[in-house]
Order: sequence, then C-alpha cells, then structure tokens
Amino acid sequence: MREVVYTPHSKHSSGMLGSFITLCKNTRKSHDFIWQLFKRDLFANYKKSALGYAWMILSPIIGVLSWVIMNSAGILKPGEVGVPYPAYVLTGTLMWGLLMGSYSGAAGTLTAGTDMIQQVKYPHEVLLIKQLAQQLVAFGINLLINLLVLGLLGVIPSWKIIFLPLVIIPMMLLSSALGLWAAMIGVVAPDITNAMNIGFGFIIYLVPVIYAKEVQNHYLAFILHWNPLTYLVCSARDVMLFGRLYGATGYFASTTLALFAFLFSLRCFTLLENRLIEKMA
Amino acid sequence: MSTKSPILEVEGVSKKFCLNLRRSMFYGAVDLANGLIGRDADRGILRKGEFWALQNVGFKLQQGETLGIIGSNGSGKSTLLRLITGIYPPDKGTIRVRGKVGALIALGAGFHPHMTGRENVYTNGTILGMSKAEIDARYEEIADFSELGQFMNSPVSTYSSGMVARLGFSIAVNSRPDLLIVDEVLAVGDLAFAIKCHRKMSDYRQSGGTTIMVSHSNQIIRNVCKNAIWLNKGIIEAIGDAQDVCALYEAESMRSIKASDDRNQSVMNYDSKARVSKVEILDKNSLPRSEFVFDEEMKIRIHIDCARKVRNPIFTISIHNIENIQVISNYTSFDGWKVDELEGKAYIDFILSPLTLNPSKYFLSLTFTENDINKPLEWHEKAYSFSVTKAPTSYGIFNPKPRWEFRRES
Repeated sequence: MREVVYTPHSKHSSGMLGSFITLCKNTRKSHDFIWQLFKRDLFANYKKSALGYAWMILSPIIGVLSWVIMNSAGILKPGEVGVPYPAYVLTGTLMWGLLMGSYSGAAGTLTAGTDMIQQVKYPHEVLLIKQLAQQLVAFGINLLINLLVLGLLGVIPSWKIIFLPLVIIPMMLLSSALGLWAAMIGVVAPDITNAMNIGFGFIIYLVPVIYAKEVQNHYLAFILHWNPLTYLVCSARDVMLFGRLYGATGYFASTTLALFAFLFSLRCFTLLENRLIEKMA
Repeated sequence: MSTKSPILEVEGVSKKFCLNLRRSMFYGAVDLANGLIGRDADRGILRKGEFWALQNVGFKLQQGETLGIIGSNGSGKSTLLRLITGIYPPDKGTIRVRGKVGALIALGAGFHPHMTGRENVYTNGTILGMSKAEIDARYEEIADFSELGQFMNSPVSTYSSGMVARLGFSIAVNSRPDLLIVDEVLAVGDLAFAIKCHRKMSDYRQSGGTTIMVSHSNQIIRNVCKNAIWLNKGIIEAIGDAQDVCALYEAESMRSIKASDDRNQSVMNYDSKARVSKVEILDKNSLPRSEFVFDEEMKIRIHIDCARKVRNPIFTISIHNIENIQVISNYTSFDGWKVDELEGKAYIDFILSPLTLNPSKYFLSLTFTENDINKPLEWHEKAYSFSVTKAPTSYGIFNPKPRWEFRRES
C-alpha cells in the first residue's frame, strides 16, 4: 500500500524543479480529474443559456468588431505598423488576451476548487493546468476568428505561425507565475490581489499592442524596452504576422525570466497552498 | 489497539487556528512572506489570538477496525479528519496513512448544479480519485445504489437535498477506499436511505475496510465501532473500547448539563394549589440513588401537595436518553391506574422492576394534570437524571430480556 506522511514541513524537501516534476506527475496521474473539471467548467455555464455554446464565438467576434469599428471611425492613430492597423491590433490583443487569460486562470487556481477544497484532498496545482487549458481553448477560438478576419483584410499570416504554440509558452509561464501569486495573496490579502488585477489591466498600455513600437515619450520608450512582456507578447504577434521575433535577445532573456519566475512561483505555491487553504475556511 | 502494521498512525499531532479573521489573514500573510524567503516560523508556539484546535493527538488504527470519534461541537473532530485526509497540514506531529483514503466529509463535493447526475458521477468520481475507466465499470452500481433512476439524466439543481446526498454517498462508497472517513453525513437523507447506507458500510467493514466515523449519536458509535476516541477541546480525553469511551463521554456531558442544578428552570407550575412538591429516584430499598445497575429495581416517587381537590388526576412520565430519544413514555391513564380525586399530601411510585435500559445516562420528565393530559398543573421537563451501568450487552437502547425458543420442524 502507498504510504503518505503528513508533517508540518512535508513539502519542504523538494526544490523548484521537484515542484515542477510533481506538477507533471500529478497532471499525468490526474488527467481524468483535470478533464472532468475542464468539461464541467467549460460547458456547464452555457447550459442555462438560450444561445448556449454560441457565446464561445460570439464574445470574440464582438471584440473584433469593436476594434474594426474604432479604426474605421478614425478614433485610433497607431502610427506605422507594417500591416493594416486592424490586423495589427487584433493580433496583438489576441496575444494580450491569452496573457490576461493565463494570469486570471492561474489566479483562480485555488478559488476554482472552492466548492471542494475544504472537503476533499486532491493535487491543487493541477487545477492550474485545467485553468490554462480553458484559456487555450478560448485562445484557439479567437485565433480562428482572427485568421478569418486577417484573410478579409488581405493579410496572409507567415508560415512560421506553426511555431506559435512554442512562442506563446514563455508568455503563459510568466503570466501564470504572476497569477499564482495573485491566487496565494488573494487568500490572505484580497486587497493586494484586487490592486494586482487592476494593475495588470493597465499594463496593456506599457506594451506596444495597440500602438506602434516607436514612441515619442522617452519614459514610455524606456519601459517598453525593459518590459519583458513587450518581447513575449509582441514576439507572439510578430511570428504570426511577419514570421519573426520581436527582438530575439529580449525574447530569450524574457523567456529565461519567465521560466525562472514560473518555477519559483510554483515552488512557493506548492509549499504554501495547504497553509492558505486553512484560511479559506 | 494492536501495533501491527497500522493503516493509520497519528503521532503527537497538534493544529492551531486563529479566532480573529483579520488576524488570521495577517498571520497567513506573514507565513506567506516567510515562505517566500525560505523561513518557516515555529509552528509549535501560539501567537496572539491563536488556540489549539487539536493538541498532542495520537492513536493507531489497524486495517479492518472501525474507530468512532465523539465529542461536543468544536472539540476538533472535523479538524482531525481534515488532517488525516491531508486537507490541512499538522502544526506539530506526524500522520502516516497507508492506502487510499475516501472521505465522506461533505457528500457531493464538486457537484455542478447545471450538470446531470450522470455527468456529476464522473466529475465527483475523479475528484475522489477514481479513473474514468473505474467509473465506467462502477457506474451502474453507483446509479443503482442511489436509486435515482431517470433522474440520473436530469440536472442536479432539480434534486432534493436527500437525492444529492444519495448520489454523493453512492459515488464515495463505490470509490472503494482502504480507509473510509465518515463525518456525520449519514444524518441526511430519508430513513430508508440511512439504513441502506449503514448496510453498505457494514458490507465494507465485513470485507476488511477500515472506517473512522464521527457521530453525535453514541448509539451509532456503540453499535458500529470497536474503539472510540473522545475529543474534548482538542485533547484526547479518553481512548479505547467504544462502550467505555461513550460511557465516559456521557458521564461528562451529564455533569456539564447539570440537570439537577437547573431544576427551577425546567419546572413549570400552572396551579399553585396543586403542586408536585418533590420527586425522588429510589432503589428497591427506597433509598435515593442516581446510578443503577441493569436489571435491578428503580422507583420514581412523585410527592404531591394539593390544597384543593384535583379530580381525575393523570401523571405522565417520560425518559429520554442522552441523544434526546424518548425511550419510555407512560401515562397513568393508559396503564390502568386511576383515582377519582386527590387532596392533601401523597405520593405515587412509578416502578421499573427490572430496569432493562442499557447503560447510558437518562433524563426524566413528568407531568401532573387534571382530567386532560394537555392541560398540566405542573410540568418537570428533563429535570432529573440517572444512569444505568453494567448490562450483558450495550447494543440498542434497552434490553427487553426476551425468551428464545428453539423447535425442530418435522
């Protein structure tokens, strides 16, 4: 029989990589659990709705239309971006949406299981995988709509779009790292998490997603230069539109940072989750 | 308890909580910050506002045993179960669990109201550690046990709480754990379902399953468990044979209730000219006693003092056990005792000979009425208590001392 030992410090022995390996093992072991919760949370909420699953594509279509209308009305003056502005901004916001989705998904890692977290023992970190899987489904639907709109705008995506799944990984890792901290802090200091959520929404203006990368303001240019999200989000966009990374050095440096941040956050989450769950009672 | 290859070992386990929510959150933030820099504060000391929900708890449980946990509200029973299942970490001590743990702490954890019973079987089953293949294989058994029939294809939001409990129990018990933890969940659902659950759990025990059961019903603990633990304010007050532990718990509960001290609060007189002046619980020698041995004689003597004529007086006596189950209810009018009128001082005896109540604590209530039992002159509500000890068997509430007869059929 498998023996499990619970002590005050039972999770201290594994390091950052150990936590990651545990996540992988638990994900493999709990794949049925992840799949059932994934289905439950993805589909159950549409069951009462008259339009049902149509909302899964209606929401992104409305988002696309809003940008197209604003652009055609001349509200936006983005500067020279290399492709028709709607294509640029739609693709950029698509990637930003994935970033935000990964952040909010990870931030909900503990709360996604509120109904059972005090009642049943399960590997809480695998809920992160379920949360991210939901975001990837939403991203996939948005991507298809986006490709359709790009076609209508006469923009042919680069063949290097096949690398997109790889390019978005660091972006998801970094936002998940921040999201995990929001999840942890949200239990004991919800004010800080609320501030983080608002702040994260504001960061879109510190990344050249809805405007061109050349900006007049020196301070903003400085931030754009040193902001890792600039490289992670814009590289995903540029791989799709132009078949290149947005500053290869910045991208790989940011990728290293994202990987380290994720492992560190995951380690802290693994170490502290049970202590935090006590506070959720 | 034996020490050979236990399925569960709990050694010196303590758990603390904070009384104040904001302070609790503050401590949580401090712990979070300490964790961030790799420091782990000494969990063995109490900070301001904290208290021990469990303190130095230790016991072992062998495979196939059934352990009951009893104690008043807030004694730490549910916390202990959450520590054993690994939901909370201990602040001190070690818990070793060998095998798969199934916890019936809350039936239907993870149920989504918009999903059908069938869909929720799969979700809840995986939450309890079953694979999809295992659920596929046991689905019919789960559906049959729950007796939900066509409702399995309806959303759970349309179920009654009893139906939810049925489905939740059915999934949990069919997850076939090595150690089953049951926290008072069988109190839900209708009587037929409760009986069915107990039968299922009995089958589980017969097949070598190990159970920890929390219940406020000492009768259930006595009937189901070999051993028991009495938790009191987070400390093990008694551990050992379930009969003995329940008896100790009941004795302490009685002391805390202080029924006799509260006599004035539980005695109501509605006619100052017709009073019950004294009530005595006596043995066969008419000496006052509060503790009786099974099978001996017990007498309840009701002294009355009537300054007027009471016509067609009726006395009623009822006895409740510690779980507030009425085990005896007798009326003089039904038992054939009758006088036309009473006046002055007198007493009436209610004699139980032999006393066949099983060991426990009991509360005595009585009424003194005139002509109509619904119009009491005086009412003593659980104002007296006594205990019974030493019976040939402690199962059930009372032992009617039946006669068994054996005949061979030709």
